[in-house]
Amino acid sequence: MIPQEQSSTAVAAGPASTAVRLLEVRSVSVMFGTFMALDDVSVNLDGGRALGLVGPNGSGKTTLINVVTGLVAAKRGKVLFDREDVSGRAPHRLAHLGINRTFQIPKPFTGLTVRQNVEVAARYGKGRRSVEEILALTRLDRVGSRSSEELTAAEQKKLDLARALSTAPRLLCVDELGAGLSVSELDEVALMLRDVSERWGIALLVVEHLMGFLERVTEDVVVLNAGQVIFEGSLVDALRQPNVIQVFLGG
Amino acid sequence: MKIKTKLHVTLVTGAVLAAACGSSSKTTTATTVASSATSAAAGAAAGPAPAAITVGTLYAGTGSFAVSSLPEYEGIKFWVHEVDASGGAYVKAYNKKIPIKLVSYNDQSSTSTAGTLYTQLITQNHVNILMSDFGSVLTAPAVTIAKENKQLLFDVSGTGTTFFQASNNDPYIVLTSLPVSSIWPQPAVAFMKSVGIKNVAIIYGANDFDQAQANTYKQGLAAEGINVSFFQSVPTATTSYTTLIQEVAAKKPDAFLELGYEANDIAFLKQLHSSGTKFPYVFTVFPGQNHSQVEAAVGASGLAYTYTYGAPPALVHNSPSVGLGLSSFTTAFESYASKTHINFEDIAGYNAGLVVQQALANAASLSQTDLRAGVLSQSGKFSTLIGPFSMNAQGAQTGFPLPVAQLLPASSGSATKVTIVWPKSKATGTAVYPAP
Amino acid sequence: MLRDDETLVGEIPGTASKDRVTQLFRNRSFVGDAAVALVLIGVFAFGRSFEANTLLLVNLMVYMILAQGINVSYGFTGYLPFGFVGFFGAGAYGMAVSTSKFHVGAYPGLVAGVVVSVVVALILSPLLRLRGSYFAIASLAAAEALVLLVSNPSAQGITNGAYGANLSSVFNPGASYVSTVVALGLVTAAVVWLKHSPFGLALRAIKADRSSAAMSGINVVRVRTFAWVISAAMAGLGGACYAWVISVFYPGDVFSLTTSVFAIIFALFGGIGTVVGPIVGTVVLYGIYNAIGITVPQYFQLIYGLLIVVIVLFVPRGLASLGASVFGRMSR
Ligand SMILES: Nc1ncnc2c1ncn2[C@@H]1O[C@H](COP(=O)(O)OP(=O)(O)OP(=O)(O)O)[C@@H](O)[C@H]1O
Ligand SMILES: [Mg+2]
Repeated sequence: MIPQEQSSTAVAAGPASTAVRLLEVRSVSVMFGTFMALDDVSVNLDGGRALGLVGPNGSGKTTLINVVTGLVAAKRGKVLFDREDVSGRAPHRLAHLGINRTFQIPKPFTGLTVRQNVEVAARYGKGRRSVEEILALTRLDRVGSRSSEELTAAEQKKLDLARALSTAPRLLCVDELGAGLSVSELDEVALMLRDVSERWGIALLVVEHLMGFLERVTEDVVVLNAGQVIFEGSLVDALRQPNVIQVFLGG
Repeated sequence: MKIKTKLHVTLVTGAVLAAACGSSSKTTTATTVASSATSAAAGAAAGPAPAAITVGTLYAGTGSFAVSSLPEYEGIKFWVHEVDASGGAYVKAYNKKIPIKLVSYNDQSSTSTAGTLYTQLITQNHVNILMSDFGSVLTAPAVTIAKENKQLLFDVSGTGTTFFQASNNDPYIVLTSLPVSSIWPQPAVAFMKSVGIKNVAIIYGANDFDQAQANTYKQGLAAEGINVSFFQSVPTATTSYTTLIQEVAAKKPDAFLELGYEANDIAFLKQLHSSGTKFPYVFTVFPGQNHSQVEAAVGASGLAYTYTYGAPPALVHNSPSVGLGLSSFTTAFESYASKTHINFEDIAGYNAGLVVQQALANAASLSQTDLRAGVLSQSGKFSTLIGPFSMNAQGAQTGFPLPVAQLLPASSGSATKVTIVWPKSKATGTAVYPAP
Repeated sequence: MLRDDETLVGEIPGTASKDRVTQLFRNRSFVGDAAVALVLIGVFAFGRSFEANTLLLVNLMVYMILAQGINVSYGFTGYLPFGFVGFFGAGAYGMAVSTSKFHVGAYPGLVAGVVVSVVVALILSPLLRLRGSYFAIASLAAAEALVLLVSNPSAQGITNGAYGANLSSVFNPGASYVSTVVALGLVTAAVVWLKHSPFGLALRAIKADRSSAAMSGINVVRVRTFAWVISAAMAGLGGACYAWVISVFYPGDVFSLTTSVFAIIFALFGGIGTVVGPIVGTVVLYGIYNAIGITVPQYFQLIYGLLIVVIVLFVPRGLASLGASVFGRMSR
């Protein structure tokens, strides 16, 4: 079912770019009024690689994604993408550069069909990916002509993913994609993420509470607590760190 | 979010509705006169006489103009009633009396609705005579439609200056019951000079009616060498004058003129009274035309010694050459409409009927151009309960001069009386200047 | 100025534009909407032969134009401008001033009306940052400010101020009627285009969710402003045509809040986000308005108001949604 064209894309954007530093978050701080949601956070991610972002509720994970995708402005610090400073750029221009995301609470375009949802992103995101291909890949082809608000929660999450993928991102931030999915759906989505990442060389920044899900997508994590990075390294090591355990159990 | 907006819309609609129903319950005295579409053949005198002369008009049953439109409409209905009771109006073209039939619609104070309904009167009802609704705003849409359909418009009280410009080349309009607003202030300027006023402040509503008067005042006063030290417009919807009154007081003028609509005048007079500021001469437009209503709102002490245009019923013409004199009109109208007060609009409506009657009695045929010629031929030749009728070539009313009146307290002190003080020939009392 | 990486209407990859046209005509709802537009033009083009009251036809057309303008603004982008009549008045005065003061012909005058309303829309576009009722009320205040500006004595040299406009120099009942028909055709065609074009999809995406629309690569501010300008241009065109037909009017007539309220109610009643909704809404409600307004004026407000409240409460998506669900059931 997958058109041939797609494999050539995979080669073009594939392993060639893996070693290059794609995203660099440099000493970013975010304030909401007097509340400091991110405090001097730095995160690095190479092209084609995956990085987990974990931390208790309210630790600033979503806020970090919002900064990277331009929805929230940082008070201090910079975001570099492809070594270029993209801090403060409008979200649609970041999308054109190849940064995209899913939302913690899915935000489908209600009133539009599933296919139209993806069409809009394919057209305006300049991804040049085939809508049908994306729908097939995310297993949404059978509900393509349904109105997006009729979808189940799991399908809506996949729709967020499909939309993001159709813009042909080089960096994809996924915000708690696993939450609320059944075991088999978790399997399916984790596989899907690994698959697109490998095939198209997409770097992933994965926010997740479910460690079982996370370990199937990446080995490297950054642990946030109260807006600060408290650990960087492998997931296995993280779970051995007393301060990380403290944060998760005590929080 | 969506549902919330829907609710907003519903609530707003509900509020609009409530307001509309509120105003309509006050004014449901109007009844529609039969509006069957039997049309009298308009036009040529040739052929048999029509069974009735159809007169078409609009009234505002609800909305902002209802208060003035309904009395005017009552006046028109009263005229139809009077004429038909006497066997009809004399029509020269057929040399006999023919009954009048009134066709009327409710435009609800909306100009676009009025436009549709004027067209309906002309193209569907084929009325012989077209009369406009009250005031310039509701008359405006009729001006074009009448011209387009070559139908003469009997403009009852739309004194808009743009209707009567020579450049319009519009032979299809005549103003029946009020002089064009630009000539209203002429007697008042003369009076102000006679009492030695030197320094004048004018505030006026930013609308055709008030602005035309304000400009005439300004020019007229300048020509008499009187200084206008304050000249400012306010939006027509204004009801707060307190700061303006303070500003004007600082200029210490002898005369303070506020030219507004009725609601403006009422708000102004009230606020002037409660501010305690006094001026030797205060002038507003509407106490003279709608004395009972303004006095009820402002109170006699707020009105006392202020000036206004003297219009009927304060201005008495008891022996006109056509129609009823003021006192017989008052008696007959009050019993017809079961009212205890008459105001100027009632008289204006009746007077418009009298002008139509003159047109019918002097036109060679029922064609619209002949009807106009019929009216024009009578300019300066007859008088009604408003005064001597005269008309210029553009169809503007130049007769019916409005004298100056002062609201003098009656002996009891709990009411005021509209007393004509200028010109001397019409005076019913002597001015108290400066106001105590 | 479009940056090279930002276009208003992108292309769907791999589909040539010719394919898209064939695709459109295979789309049953597009054919239906296009047919609606054509029938509408036909009805009004020959309207004068079965309805003598031309002004009734003109008013109907003008309200359809305004209801479609509301449709574009509210139905496609979710902004409900209570002060929508401001654009109508701006169009009417653009026409009046250009023809009577600058002595341009009637057709350039119509263009001037549209241009003036577009300029006003651009000046007011920062209002789009407000949401919900704040926006509705701010737009109302803007319309109020416009009428004060137009009727101000110091603007008299240009607008003739409170004395009102008189277009007798270009007065032409036949041509102004035909122009109104053409205007209605253009406006309806624009709505058909919006509904079936990717641009229309982008608007609906923004309406559904701003941030995910932005993440889909849509320049939210620009697209939204463009829709706002289209909507204003529609109202301006309607205002210019109305001004030409009616010829003599006061500032208050073309800036009357009632006009906004009517257009909003007609659009909601018929169903927003559709082509046929605002048309049906106007025909039904303005038809009823004229029918009962003439025969039973005493109860008019009551009947009319109740009707609207009932519809808004029980058929919240408008008459078109009723029609669509019946039609949908039949064709499934
Ligand atoms: N727009 C905002 N205004 C004010 N405070 C905010 C805003 N967005 C986030 N916050 C606060 O910033 C902190 C970090 O929020 P964030 O959503 O980034 O946490 P998170 O790590 O994603 O949590 P969760 O696991 O619950 O999703 C929280 O305390 C939150 O209340
Ligand atoms: Mg979060």
